[in-house]
Amino acid sequence: MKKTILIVLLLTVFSFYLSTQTETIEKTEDNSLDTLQNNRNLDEPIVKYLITAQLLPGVKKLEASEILTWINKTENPISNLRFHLYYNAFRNIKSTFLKEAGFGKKSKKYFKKLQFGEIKIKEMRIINGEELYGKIRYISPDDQNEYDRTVIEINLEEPVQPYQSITIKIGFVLTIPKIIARTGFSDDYFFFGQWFPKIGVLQNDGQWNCHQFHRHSEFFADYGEYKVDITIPENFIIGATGNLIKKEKNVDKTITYFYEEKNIHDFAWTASPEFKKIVEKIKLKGNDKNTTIELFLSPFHSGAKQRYLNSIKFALNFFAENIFPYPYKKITIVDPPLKGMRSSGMEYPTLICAGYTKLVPDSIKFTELVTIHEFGHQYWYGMIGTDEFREAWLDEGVNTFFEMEILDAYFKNSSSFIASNLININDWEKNRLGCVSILPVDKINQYSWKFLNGSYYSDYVYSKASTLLRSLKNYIGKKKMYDFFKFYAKKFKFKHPKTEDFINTFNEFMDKDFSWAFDQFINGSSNLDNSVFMIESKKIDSNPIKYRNEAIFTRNEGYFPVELLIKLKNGKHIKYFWEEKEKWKKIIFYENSPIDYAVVDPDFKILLDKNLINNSKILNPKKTRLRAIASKFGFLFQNILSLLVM
Amino acid sequence: MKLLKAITKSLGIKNLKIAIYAWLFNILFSIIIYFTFYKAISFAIGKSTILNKLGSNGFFTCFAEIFRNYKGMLPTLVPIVIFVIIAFSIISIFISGGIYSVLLNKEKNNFLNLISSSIENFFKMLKMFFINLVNFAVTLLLFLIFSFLLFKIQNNSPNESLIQILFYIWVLITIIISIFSIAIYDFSRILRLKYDKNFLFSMKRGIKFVFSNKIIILLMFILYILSVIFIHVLLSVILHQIESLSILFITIIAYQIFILFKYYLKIIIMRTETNIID
Repeated sequence: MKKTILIVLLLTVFSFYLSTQTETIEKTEDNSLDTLQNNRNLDEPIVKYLITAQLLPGVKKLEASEILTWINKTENPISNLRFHLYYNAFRNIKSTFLKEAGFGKKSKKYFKKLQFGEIKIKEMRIINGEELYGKIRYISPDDQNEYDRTVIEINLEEPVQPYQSITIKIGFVLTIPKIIARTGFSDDYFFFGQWFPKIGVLQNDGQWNCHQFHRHSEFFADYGEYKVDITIPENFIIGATGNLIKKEKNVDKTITYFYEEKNIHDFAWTASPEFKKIVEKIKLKGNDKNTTIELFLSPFHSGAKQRYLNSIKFALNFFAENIFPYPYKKITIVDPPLKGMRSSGMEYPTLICAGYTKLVPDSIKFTELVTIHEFGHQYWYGMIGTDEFREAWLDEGVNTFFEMEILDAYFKNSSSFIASNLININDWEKNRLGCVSILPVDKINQYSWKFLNGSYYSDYVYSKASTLLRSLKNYIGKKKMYDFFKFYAKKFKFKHPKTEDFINTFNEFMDKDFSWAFDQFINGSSNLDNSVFMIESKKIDSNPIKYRNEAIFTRNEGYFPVELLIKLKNGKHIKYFWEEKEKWKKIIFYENSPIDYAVVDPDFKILLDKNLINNSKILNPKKTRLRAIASKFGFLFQNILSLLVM
Repeated sequence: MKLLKAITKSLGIKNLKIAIYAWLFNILFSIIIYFTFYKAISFAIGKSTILNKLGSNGFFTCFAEIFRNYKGMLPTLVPIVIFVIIAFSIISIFISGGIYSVLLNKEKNNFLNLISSSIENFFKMLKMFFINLVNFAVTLLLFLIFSFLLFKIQNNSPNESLIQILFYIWVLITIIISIFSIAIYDFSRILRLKYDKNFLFSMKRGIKFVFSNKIIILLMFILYILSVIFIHVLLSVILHQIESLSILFITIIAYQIFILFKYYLKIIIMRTETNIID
């Protein structure tokens, strides 16, 4: 009996134990799911950079270390990592960047003035994990250039699982080059862009977007958090991305500055003992707090101060009014010295490197143009983080469109690019000229380094893309275009839209299919040329007077809906909106007056049109204006002759 | 004092006929260019209304369109322009011989005298021009050496203010070198006509004369340059107003008055030079 009770008791206890174990296992399974869900790091930024750097200006070196926390936010486990080492573009002339810049053709004398630079990794390991230094492998995924060192790949022993993070420590040293492009030093002026090992972007398909540094490409990275502390000699003045949290004086006559910023995808900084720092504040519509403007002026550039400040404030207000207010606490403008001008004209999150020189007359609005353009990049590329490698037009083309708009508004009463007694050129004219001067051999939407040459890259990506957008603006109306960009910007704020996102959003917003525009001019090579082919008026009756009037318009290249205008000699205007896709349009009508002239696009809205001369025809041209122009030429020539020795 | 006297003696309506003489040759050659450009633009623009459409805003675009679409015309236009410039340079040697001769000999400055003096002295003046090529070559060399030195100084300088100042110095010294070169050319020609000695003698005397009267020469030419600039600015403002009236005939007349005035100033200087020599 006792034995039975004992067995029953034991069995009961054992059963109870088993059931609790099961419960625990089940709980563990539940916990794994929960853990997995919690560890999906959904709300965490993909990257967190913690960088410590010390500038050694005497030897032109920067010693630094970086702790990078990266989250694999895809559904694929990843067993290799790729990093950009952009600085190695300036290592020697065999790099892809300098090869594409034509450095192989330069003379030996040219190289005597140069000082190359590089980034050297000193250590690399997973925190509390694998040693990675010995696994660094240089790769050239774009052009197989074995001498290019701007991309590295590391194979991991253990893959990074979906939604898991990895923390890596990287120690590195920069040999700072004399500025060739964007980054480096000139005398005591230092500018650091693309200066730290930067992890590539892992796409949803498990492939890395991690391209080499090309002459005509820019950059692409995930949004993240940056905490950077920089130690510089105490006599240096520093400007950087992000907000200055604190600074500490060190015993060795250096100062360490601590910067932080969130929701950015790059970090740049500058230092020089000769900067003059100017701080102003501006209250933007829609923001609760003031935005700080920090301007770092180089020597001899006091004349630029107001030009910089006025144009940046105008741009800040413009974007606040038309897109959304600039959300960061601060914007920094760096004014490089003359010898550092190769670092000018570049954008970084919350910091722009603009440009000014006393040697360029004020009638050339270079300073305003570059300030407004680089600030515009805070939106197009900065906060709407498009891929500058593969779809450069989404930032450069869009931004150049806004550059033209803002400059038009800023220089209401004069030309927006060159305004002088001798010559006047508007920014839109400059961009249009770039757009219509190119052959239809490339597409706007293609990888940056795949254009015919550097000139074609600029003309397609900046000029043609912006001219298309301006033509679309003229077609649909300014308000609607601005409203679209407001909608688009808010939709893709801190995201990475692609061309198809832009097009789909555009069509969705307009509630109309605009594929004809994007297929031809963004994803295709088409140019545009409309013309008046023929006009004719024949008198067919005298009593009452009656004319048979005929006008033929043609689409020689491309398609864009366009207005047609026929003006009669009696002053009457006949307008027609040509939306159909036929290649020619014949208009025949009977009136008591012959045709005076006919025009395609009389208000010059469609700037893409590559030949304006054939856009109009007049039956009986009056030569007065022509004679006036020829007389002016003749007069200029007479002046030249009168200066010849007598 | 000497300069003031020479200039005062040079002023007056008596220079107008000579200025008209010079202007006539100018307009003769300029008409070639006027018609060439007229035909070229007419061919390019044809029956387009582009000039009217774009107006003053978009003027750059207008000409960019013509250039881009019709730059095939340039191989035809450019040689014509170069030919006209070379031909006029030779003609100006012809004209200047006649003018200097009439001024020196204090002859009546009617067209007959001017033309006959020009014909009579053309080959002398042409030879003086060729001899003065040495003068021009030395000037060019000095200019290049000086430019090179200044470039070297400013090339390594981060000081933009210094670069600007160096630029103005470069301009000033270029002007001074040019003034002396032109003065040597002018006075060597005058002396050739005045003394009818051989060319080398005239050249040497010319150089000696110029460097013995450096200050007067410099002042004279600087005064001339300033007058030309002043007239340019003043007449440009007036011209701009006249152009805006869009009455072609009046505009062309205004252009010619402008050019005539420039020649008038030039004749004053030429007369001053002969007075100084006297």
